[in-house]
Amino acid sequence: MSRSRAMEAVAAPAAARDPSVRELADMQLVRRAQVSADAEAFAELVRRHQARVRGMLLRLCGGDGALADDLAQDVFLRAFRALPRFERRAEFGTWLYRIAYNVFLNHTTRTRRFDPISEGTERRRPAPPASHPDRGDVRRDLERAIAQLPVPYRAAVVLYYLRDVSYAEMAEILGLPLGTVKTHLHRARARLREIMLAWDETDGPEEAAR
Amino acid sequence: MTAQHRALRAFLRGCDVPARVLAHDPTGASWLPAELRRWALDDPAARRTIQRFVAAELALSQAPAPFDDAPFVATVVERAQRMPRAAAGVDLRATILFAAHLLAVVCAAYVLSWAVPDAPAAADGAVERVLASAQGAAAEAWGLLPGLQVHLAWGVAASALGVGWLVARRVRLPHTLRA
Repeated sequence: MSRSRAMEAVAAPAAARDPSVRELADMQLVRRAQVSADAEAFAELVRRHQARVRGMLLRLCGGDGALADDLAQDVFLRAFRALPRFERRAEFGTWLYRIAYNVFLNHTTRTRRFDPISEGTERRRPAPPASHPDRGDVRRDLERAIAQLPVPYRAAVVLYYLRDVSYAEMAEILGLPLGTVKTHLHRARARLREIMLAWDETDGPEEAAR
Repeated sequence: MTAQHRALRAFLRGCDVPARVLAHDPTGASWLPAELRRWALDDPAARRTIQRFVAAELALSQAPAPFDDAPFVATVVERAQRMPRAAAGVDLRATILFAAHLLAVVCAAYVLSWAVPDAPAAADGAVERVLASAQGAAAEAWGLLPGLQVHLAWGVAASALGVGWLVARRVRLPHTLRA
């Protein structure tokens, strides 16, 4: 499919698209994409899930939008390639998040930025960021604070705030026992708030790190 | 930092208030302990801390990426159409498990042929005699097999098959293979 045809299929006004595709549930779209390699069904799946997958990766990548979008494309392409083997035992979204987390882990491994939880993580002060975050931009501060968490904590807190992901699904996505996920989440949220509150109580992250 | 500031920070660090409640009640009238709230009303720094906390929690709950992004979807669809897909039914996991299973059976067959060179004939004879016996009890069949080596070899073969079957049904492969 050429770029222009892909754009036509995707960017056409809602009324011009096949209405049946928009009304189908995820699993029905998956079935269509599996059985007949229906590009429109796959496009609808991408359209529905791109915001959450990109949002998840954006936060995992510490707010690096370009990197998150590259990884998100990789996620959907892997999903497309593996779609015939998707057994529909899990929700399609859960399956996608798992691929997204694996893609992110592969990326961090390749770039050697993986930071497993180490002894004393809870007691350490946050590392000072490269520059002072804009005090007025809560969202950016938040992304910087999330980026300071160890990767498993970061993943737990990011998935938790996606809202449509249950604890059981988080455990499945992260490949961890349910109890570990809850512990990670509890510590991650406390740590995140600690970082943010420390920034708030001082003149900035540099002061908080002292 | 005063004791009240510390108490406020400790509360905010551990509290679990849904985002919709924070959105409706950003000042904490319904979720902040009464004593802290009374104090916070008169303390600008405390009010700012609460404001920042609420803003951060609400920002966390909002989707950080655009809800609809047609160019992104088009790029993905276009790239997807150019790439090969896995054939239905050909699963990397299944392929690996099948290969491992096959290897186990081959190893078992090798051990069997080494331990009992005339095993096929002995087994055939044993099976015939067991089938011929209307009351063919397990104990009798057991006694028909020649020697301990045969028991051992058949045990290895059965174990290989059993392990292969168990692995195929239960093993959890790494995420990268399951994706």
